[in-house]
Amino acid sequence: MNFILGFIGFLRRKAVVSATLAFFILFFTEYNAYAFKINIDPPRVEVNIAAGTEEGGTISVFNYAEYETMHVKVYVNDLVYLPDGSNDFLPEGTTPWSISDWIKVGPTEFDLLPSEETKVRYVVNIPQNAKGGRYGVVFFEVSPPLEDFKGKSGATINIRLGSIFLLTAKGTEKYDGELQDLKVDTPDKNGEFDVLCTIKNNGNVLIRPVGTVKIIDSSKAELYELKLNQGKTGVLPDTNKQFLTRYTGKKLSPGEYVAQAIIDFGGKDYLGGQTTFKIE
Amino acid sequence: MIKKFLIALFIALLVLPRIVFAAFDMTIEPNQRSIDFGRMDMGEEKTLEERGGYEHMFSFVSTNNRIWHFKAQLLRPFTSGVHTIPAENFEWVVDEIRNGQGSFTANISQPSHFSTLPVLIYISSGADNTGATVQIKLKYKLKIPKYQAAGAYTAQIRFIMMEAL
Repeated sequence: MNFILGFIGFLRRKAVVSATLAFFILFFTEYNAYAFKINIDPPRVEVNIAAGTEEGGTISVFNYAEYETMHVKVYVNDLVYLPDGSNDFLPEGTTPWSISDWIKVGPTEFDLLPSEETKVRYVVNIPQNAKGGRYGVVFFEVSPPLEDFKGKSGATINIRLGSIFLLTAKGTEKYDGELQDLKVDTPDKNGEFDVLCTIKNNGNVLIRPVGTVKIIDSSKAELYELKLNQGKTGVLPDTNKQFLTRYTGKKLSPGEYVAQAIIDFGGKDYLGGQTTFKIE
Repeated sequence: MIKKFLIALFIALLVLPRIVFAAFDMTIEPNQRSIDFGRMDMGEEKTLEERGGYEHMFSFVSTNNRIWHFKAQLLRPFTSGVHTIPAENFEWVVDEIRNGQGSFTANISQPSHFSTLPVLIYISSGADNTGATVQIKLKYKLKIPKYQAAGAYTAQIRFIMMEAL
């Protein structure tokens, strides 16, 4: 009798443990039958190898959907910077810093079953005479079949995740920057104004200039220090970019001031420059 | 013994999905990758959320500690044969935001129209880049021009998540 009661007790405990496990699995894991979810890993690949050598790796693509198969296309795009700091994408081979000659990816099209992972292989091969850096993106795009809207109007949705590639021919990097322009805009009614700083990248690798702009009055007192490019966006080789920082401090009294910029772009020396401006 | 095994299994089930991948993922709910405006009349304007349709909740997770962007692009405007509804007539508006510490590039209380160029919707910041789930709910609005030719119009949109270079 005691044995039977003990056995029932064991089964009950087991049931409680199983139910608890099931509860946690259902409520705390990230799978959701009603969601469409795709993951890529890594979203950024940096390869720094000598010219004439190659290096390979993989990017995992995971379909979190429980029931739906995804059709994934993989392709390379060039990229450029937009004024807002984000990137725009161009067909591969259209920019001087395109990665298209240096990289091969595959497979370029595949079906991904529910809860399945595929590894997309890349091989970076830097030519013997290559110098500097190349920059681009490998996209993973999922597009559903065109839906039959049966006489109605509708839109289908594509999802695209990108993995950024930064490739460098090791030992050939040339860092060279130039402060092309420093300008102070007219203050608004609250006394706030923009300081615009244009930096040219004369080197062969991406630079991420960061620095400060000091506002100095006629008695050489440093009144305010503005940070430049806190988001650390880059300037691609042989291009320039305007960085904007805003003065939001105390309204300056009328007079003559100096805006003095000091910028670290990763080279041997800092870039520096100043401009005078008037507050009326 | 069984108890220890179950505890180990429980921990493994909870932890495993998180350690297999560094997160950089986008989720769309509901799992319906189409926007159905149903039947509309010429000159009619319809916002799906207000008319019993659905909207999309986009969830983003990144653990890479870098700024990422969320963009939308109209790959093909509403087209039926040779007839096209201008891209400006198809709009999105942010209906809800959860957790995001980043910034939107448009006035999110106002609808913004889709464009054939990728348009920046959101720039991540701070905890958005270290594992927090950012959720942005979009609803959609379509206006049929007064003298638009009748037909079944279909469009294609692309939503993009990626880090900045």
